[in-house]
Amino acid sequence: MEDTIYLASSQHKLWSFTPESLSSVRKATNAAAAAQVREAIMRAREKKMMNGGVVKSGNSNGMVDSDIGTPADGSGNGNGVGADGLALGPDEKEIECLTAEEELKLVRYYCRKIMDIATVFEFPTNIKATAPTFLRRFFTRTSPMTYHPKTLLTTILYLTTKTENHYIHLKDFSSKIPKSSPEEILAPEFVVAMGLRWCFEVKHPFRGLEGAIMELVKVSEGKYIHPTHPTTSDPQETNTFNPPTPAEWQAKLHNLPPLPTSPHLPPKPRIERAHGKARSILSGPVLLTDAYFLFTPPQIYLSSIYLVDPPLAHFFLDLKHPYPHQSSLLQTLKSIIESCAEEVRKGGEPGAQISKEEMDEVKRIDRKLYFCRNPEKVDLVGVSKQAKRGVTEDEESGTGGNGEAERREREVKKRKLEREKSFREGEELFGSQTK
Amino acid sequence: MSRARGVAQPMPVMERRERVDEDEICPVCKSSRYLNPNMKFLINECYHKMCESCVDRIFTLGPANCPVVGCPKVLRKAKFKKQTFEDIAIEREVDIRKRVHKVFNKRPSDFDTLKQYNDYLEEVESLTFNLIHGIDLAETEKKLSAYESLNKSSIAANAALAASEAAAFTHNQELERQSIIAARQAAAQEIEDEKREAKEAKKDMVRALAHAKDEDEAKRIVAESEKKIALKRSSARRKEEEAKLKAAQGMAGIKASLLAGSRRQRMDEEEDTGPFDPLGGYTDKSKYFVVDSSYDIPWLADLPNRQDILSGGYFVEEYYQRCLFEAFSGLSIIPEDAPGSDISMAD
Repeated sequence: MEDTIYLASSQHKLWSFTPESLSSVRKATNAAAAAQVREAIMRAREKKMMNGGVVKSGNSNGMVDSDIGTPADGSGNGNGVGADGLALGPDEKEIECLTAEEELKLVRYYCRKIMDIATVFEFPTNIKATAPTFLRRFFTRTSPMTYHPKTLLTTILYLTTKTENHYIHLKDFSSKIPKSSPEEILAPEFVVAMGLRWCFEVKHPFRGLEGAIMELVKVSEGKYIHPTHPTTSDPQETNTFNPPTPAEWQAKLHNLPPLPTSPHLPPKPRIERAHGKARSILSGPVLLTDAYFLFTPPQIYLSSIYLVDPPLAHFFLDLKHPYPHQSSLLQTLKSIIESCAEEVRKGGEPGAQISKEEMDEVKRIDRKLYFCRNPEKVDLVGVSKQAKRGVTEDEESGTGGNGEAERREREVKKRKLEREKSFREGEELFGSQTK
Repeated sequence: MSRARGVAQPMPVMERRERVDEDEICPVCKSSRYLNPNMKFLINECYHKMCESCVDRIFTLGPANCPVVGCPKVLRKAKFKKQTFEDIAIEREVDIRKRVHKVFNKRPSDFDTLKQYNDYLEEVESLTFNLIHGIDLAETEKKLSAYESLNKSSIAANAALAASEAAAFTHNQELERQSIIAARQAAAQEIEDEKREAKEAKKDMVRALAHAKDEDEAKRIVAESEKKIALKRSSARRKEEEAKLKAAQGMAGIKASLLAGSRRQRMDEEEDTGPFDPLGGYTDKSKYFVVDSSYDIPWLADLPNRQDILSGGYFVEEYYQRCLFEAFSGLSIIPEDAPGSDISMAD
């Protein structure tokens, strides 16, 4: 019954992959984005040649306070020089795009960042976990070359507060983030939602972990009841085989092989220890890995228990699959848990800071990204305004700051016309026009 | 049934706007009802409408082509009939159904199980549907004629049975009608008799009173006649009741004989497989857990005292249920079965 409901979720239908399919999707995304970026940069160059060096305002949009010195906001006068550099630097040489691996590293770094921001806001765990998941999901089918992750962090976090029912006013939100404005936060929201395929539900392993711990505590108290619901198509076996009694389970839990680090821990403190440590793994390292894409929430929390207390995780699986006919499923599940634990290990230790090498690597990638960003998607506020107004690019081209003034003028004219019309209609109402 | 009708023969297209005109003007000779108030429209197997005089004019000398342009049918005068339904498509469907049911006239009693009968009905319905909507016409016709030739004897037997049943039914109805008429006549007769007797009794009494010697005798005569009348009334009532009873018994007999026909066809159902389960074995019980009444959760320990939370309708049982549910929702899904491997782009 539980599995059926999970199979119907969007997390399973749209956001579950095998390792191979995930990497192939990422490669395809990367290849498509690279082609788009090359075309866009060529277009920008042509335009620049035609305009004779009119500099379009470039990177004025919201940058989250970041500690990597990218040329975009680290060099101080980012505006003019940035836009110029875009055209001057790679003018002669071929545009060098990011690889899928580099993109992944970058996204991973920004997953850390978005969790840091959520911590500053003191958001609850579900937001802290959903935001990086959204970020990862978005960037499986969109490349950082198209949209820079940094420009989307606040948008994604704000969207998460909405989807997780933790309301915060946009003004309060943006006032706490330096160099950001409400428009900049909202501008890419549609793009982000579309990239998430409008699936805002993320199934987390946290509550499942609580459930498992509840069951384990029951066992330690000797009060565990196994459901009598028939689990097999062969009722004979259910009738003949008797699963262990609560007391037997309690004894088994008591006799689990001890942990090498703390050998003389009685069952209940041992469960509590596993609970706390597993929770910290779930709310940290897991979110920096592909675990949510590759495994289901129960598998993830079991692997986090496995990482801190392997016998306990195995005991829980044994507890839930006591019948002989379930032994093959049990073996499969154990191997799944192990491979999931392998994936979770890639996320590092809980609470660990980013290493020096990783940081240097991210800086290198970000510098490289600076030269291969899609110049048409840099000014997100402008892009979204254009989309809202439905103005084609040709109308807008070349006007730059002029566009805003023109628009206002048009609106004023429209309003004036409306006023005149309503006045005329008022006059006519009682037939002053009769001739 | 609102599918596009891919009928082989051209069908008259009916539109609401034209219908008024169509009712008034013969599409063949264009004469209108205004000039000929007695005009009647007839149709034939191609369902093209024409007026009676056109039918007389064209088909009196033997079979001829349908006068509607593009209709290849050869029609005979004998087969023209009045339209029963306003919608020509329904008219046609009813005709086809009649034709199919003439051939496929099996009864529930011809089958061993209800399922077989239902399968048969489904087969018949799909044949009919094909015929009506012109799907695989040739093949369906072939099927129909093959079935007809194969089951000639059973079709005939069933038809005879149906005819005899219909005859019995009309006979019974006739009997019922007659008994009702007889009862009514008897009642009228009785009322008349009563009136007459009352009149006679009064006459007798008056005569007796005229010959009476004194007051006492007169009184006695009046009392006697009253007594007589009362006696008659009660006997009449008894008679009436008896007649009613008789009639009711007669009716009951008729009804029972009517019902007997349908009751006879009761079938042996498929073997009983226990009580009916509308969900087909689906249950909301988990095979992994049972929710206990309370769990030892430190941060929920203070909950019973938290009136601010409880008064809002918070049930801690729901939380337990949800935790345990999520602990197993997706546990045994093998990662290799993940569906998200389609490589399609979002941007």
